[in-house]
Amino acid sequence: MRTNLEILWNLCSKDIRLFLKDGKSVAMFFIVPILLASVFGYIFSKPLENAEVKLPLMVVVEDESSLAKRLGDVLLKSPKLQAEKVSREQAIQRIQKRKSRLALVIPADFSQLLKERKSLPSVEILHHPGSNLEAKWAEGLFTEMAFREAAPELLGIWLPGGAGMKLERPFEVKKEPIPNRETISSHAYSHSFNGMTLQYLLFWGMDCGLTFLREQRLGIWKRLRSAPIPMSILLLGKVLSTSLLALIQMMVTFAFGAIFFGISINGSVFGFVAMILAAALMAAATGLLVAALGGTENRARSVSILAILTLSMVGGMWLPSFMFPEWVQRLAMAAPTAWMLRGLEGATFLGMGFQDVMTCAGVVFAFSVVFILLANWRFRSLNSQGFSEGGSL
Amino acid sequence: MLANHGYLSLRQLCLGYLGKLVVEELSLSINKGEMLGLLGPNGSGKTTTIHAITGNLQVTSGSIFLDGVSIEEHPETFKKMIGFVPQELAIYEELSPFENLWFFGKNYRIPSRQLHSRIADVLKMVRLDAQANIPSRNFSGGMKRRLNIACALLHKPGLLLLDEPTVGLDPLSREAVFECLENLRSEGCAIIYTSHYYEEIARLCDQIGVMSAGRLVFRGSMEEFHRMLSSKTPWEKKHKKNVPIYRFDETSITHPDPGENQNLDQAEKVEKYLMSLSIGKAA
Repeated sequence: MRTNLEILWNLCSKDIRLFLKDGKSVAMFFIVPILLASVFGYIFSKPLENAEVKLPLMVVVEDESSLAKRLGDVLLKSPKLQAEKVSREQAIQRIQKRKSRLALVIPADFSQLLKERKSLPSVEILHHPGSNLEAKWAEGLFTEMAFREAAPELLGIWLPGGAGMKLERPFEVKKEPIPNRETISSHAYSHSFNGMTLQYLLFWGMDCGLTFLREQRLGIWKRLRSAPIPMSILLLGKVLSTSLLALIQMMVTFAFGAIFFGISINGSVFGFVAMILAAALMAAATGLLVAALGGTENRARSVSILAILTLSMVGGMWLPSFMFPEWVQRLAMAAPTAWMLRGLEGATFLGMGFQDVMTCAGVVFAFSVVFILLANWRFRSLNSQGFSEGGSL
Repeated sequence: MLANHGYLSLRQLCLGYLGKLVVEELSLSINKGEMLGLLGPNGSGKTTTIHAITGNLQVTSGSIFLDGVSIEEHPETFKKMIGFVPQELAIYEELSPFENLWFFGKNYRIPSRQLHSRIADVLKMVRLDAQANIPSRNFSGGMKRRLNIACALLHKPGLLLLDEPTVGLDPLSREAVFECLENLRSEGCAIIYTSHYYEEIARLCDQIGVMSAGRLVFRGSMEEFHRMLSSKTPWEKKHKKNVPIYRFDETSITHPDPGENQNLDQAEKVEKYLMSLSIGKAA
């Protein structure tokens, strides 16, 4: 047992030494995900403008005035929205359970305050902490629709102010994240740091898989197979080195995000640890599967780039998943990327509890185990055939 | 010669590759301190045989024993006794010779202190002791080849398998490799050496095996091989068990003129012999 552990460590530390030999590659290993995350964060921090996409919105009309009812109807009938009328309690409950992300509330005193002219009436937008973008989007849409539908009521009161008066919105919009109203620091960088880090992690796994194929081509695998080491230990050595480096990379990326962009672990800390361990294992498992099924290096590279990009997109790593058709959202549940992102976002800015994050970590872990078993089976099968492509006879 | 005894013993070995039988009923043996040269055209099954002995390819049928240990029953014990030098440069070029040897040596469970001294010995043996800590990517082809061999020697294997180890080597480096192999043989190491170059096998080996189309068509001492080449009797008559569908005859195929045959030296005869095997295979 002890000697096997020594061999395991020898296999693993060799890979790490090889990795550290190329300084530029080490630098890129850390810089690329930070760069990707920062750029995507910047892009996501700008309001989206896409007329084709319907924004899911719950509409709560507490004001019984005709103006409020008209505004509510406009929202419900808008082709730009996928709106549904609910009560405030229902809206809060749904957001807390992550069944919906956004609700616009027209409070009971909206018309009254508008008439009194003493203070600005307000419209509330209740949203999930991860739905800042959608909240801004809803605000813009409501403002536009309100002016179109009820400009005289909204503006008439304020117009007789003189020629030099500036036109201002006659109501304010209060955005309120649910749950943990005050403590959650959520913004676009949170989504991008989770999404982009995970995406790069899969690419790292792919790269390790390609290195493995290269080792086969160079005859190193043959040499290792001729040594008194069981195949399972050889493969485990690969999994361990890839996972360890992936883990370090995630820790560095999140530390950078925490220092410079205020990303924090609002959910379970243990859940976060379990999640990054599961994600690191997933990267290694992906690499092993790439090496096992990829055939030649070039083929493996093309196929895995396509698979990783597709899974990343479907899993919601690029854009919030609500922007995709429903069937894609359903399909995403069968993709490990969706669970990786859900768990990591849950542990960081969505403030999910231990049990919920562990469910995601468990699913990712299960995917990883299946991938590793599949790769192991494939390697054994290839070995009996003499490694036809990766390292031919 | 059908050999069932010896340090290494292959018995009725059949090897398949992607569902196709590549080596058929191969039986041979080799004793300690013997060096067997495996000669044969491309695709004759030399490398496939080597890969079966190293455990890189599963045996379809038959058996492989090394010092009485079966590769199928005790693969780890078996593998501890072999050293393998693949055709390719199976080294990490980013690492120095010392780092490469440390990594490969550790895979054989050599304790650290012992491994230090073995690395020093082996580096001296392949004349790389002065470059022990220089990244291997800066080495010449010959130096890399020597390091490739060194990686297989750390655990003092009883059987050394070399698959065309001198490809691309300059004469000086080749001589260094030969010297190293001769030393190992004199220490009692059994060696199997595959090559396309008859001169190398003639220079190094005391035994020769010729493979063609997955069969061992000749196995004997170098003297027996030379006698067979000079024989006027079609050789298939003497070796009926291993007869392929083609034959070697100095006067046929390439040199219809019998007089031409008298001018051929040994190496040319071997070349034509191998060529005839290739032509037979193609036919």
